[in-house]
Amino acid sequence: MNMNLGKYVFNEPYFGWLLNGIGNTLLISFLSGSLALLLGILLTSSAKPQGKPSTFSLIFTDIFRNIPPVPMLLLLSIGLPQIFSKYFHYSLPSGFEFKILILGLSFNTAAYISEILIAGLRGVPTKQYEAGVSLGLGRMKIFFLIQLPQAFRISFPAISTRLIHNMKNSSVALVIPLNLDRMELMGQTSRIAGQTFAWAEPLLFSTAIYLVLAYALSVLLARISAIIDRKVNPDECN
Amino acid sequence: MVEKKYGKNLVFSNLSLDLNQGEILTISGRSGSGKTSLIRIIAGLTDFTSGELIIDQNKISPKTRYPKHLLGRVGVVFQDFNLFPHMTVLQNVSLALKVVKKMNSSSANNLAIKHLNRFGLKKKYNSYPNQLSGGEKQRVAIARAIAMKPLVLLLDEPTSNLDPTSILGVQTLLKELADDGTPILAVTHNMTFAAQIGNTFGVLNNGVLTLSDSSDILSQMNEI
Repeated sequence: MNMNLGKYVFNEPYFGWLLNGIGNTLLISFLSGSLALLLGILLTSSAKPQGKPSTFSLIFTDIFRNIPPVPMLLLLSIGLPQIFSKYFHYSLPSGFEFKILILGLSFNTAAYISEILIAGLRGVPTKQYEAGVSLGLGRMKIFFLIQLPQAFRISFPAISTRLIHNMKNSSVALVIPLNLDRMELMGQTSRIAGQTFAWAEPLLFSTAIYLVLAYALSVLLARISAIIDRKVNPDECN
Repeated sequence: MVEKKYGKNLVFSNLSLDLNQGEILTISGRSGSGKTSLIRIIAGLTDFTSGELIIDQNKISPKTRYPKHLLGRVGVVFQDFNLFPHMTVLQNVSLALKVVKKMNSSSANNLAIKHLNRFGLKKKYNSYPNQLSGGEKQRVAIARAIAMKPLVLLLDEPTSNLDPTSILGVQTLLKELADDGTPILAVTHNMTFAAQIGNTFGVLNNGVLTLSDSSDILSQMNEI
């Protein structure tokens, strides 16, 4: 069998579909990654100053870290509408699957980010918290102004890994019934294969794109990490 | 009069002291005698077991929570300074002015700069703590506490990380602050420092605090 990238990848309408898929992959990664970061920070903010997680945070983490993303997304996108329809006689609006995808991915990643940030929080000396207390700052002010910047610097390399993983995880959207214009790269790849029965060419292309995107994201996050390192001075002050 | 226990271990009991405006009280004692615990109790960082603490007419007991409005009004200079490493010197000093005292940014910065200038840190506004010497960190920590106009200034081993020249600088600074009316409590191992700076002296030994107006009491330290 000869590979024919020109026919099955760089040919309309397939190339347009793949470009649309790349755009959606980036959009899904950005939205779910940002939301996960925000949720992870909020969950961490409920921890004790010494880094003991709150009960809510523990429950959230235990649920969303231990459910694999595929069954979770299937449950949310297919099971949930059935539950709503059967028990509440309510049909979820069309296009809700995309929002569910963002939420599902972000909950999964947030559970990991919260754990990572908690570990970072434990790396910040308790005396930093006490210095904040002695200046009259409240718990949340101390967390956001004093502890979080230092915990973030400690945790950022591990958080970066989770954000890259989150981008790669967006490919599990393949299993949920997204609108055609909302399909991410793996969904569009599958769409081409479904129409042409050619899997190898679009898969080769999309795999290469995932590699490039993941590498580019890792370079970007490494740069952000360097900026954080510069801003949040790494040395302990004694 | 307060008592402090860690589990079954009694640190001190019936400990009683008054601190008046402009007074510098130094308390010396061997390691583990409870000097730091005393400072932490007064600052609201550690609970005490029984007794009563009165700060600016606010009565505090183990059953009552430390009044929130007093946090920030009891200035603490920690042994390790505990400056915020991700903030510049100016940000370290102005943070609580902006967040706690709700001063606008320019007023807070101006007040912080005034204190930093007073403490000889004119060229260090934009430095980070790890770019400072021990003496400079100490002065930033004092400026940070003093900028909040504390009712009392507490210092935990203020000389332990300093060279002799820096110790002299801190002595001068603390005397100036006391002359302005700020009551100061310094716990220290350094008897020379205690003798030179204090106008009341205390020795904490086996849970008992002995106070005197004379620095001769510090000779008890040699017998401990």
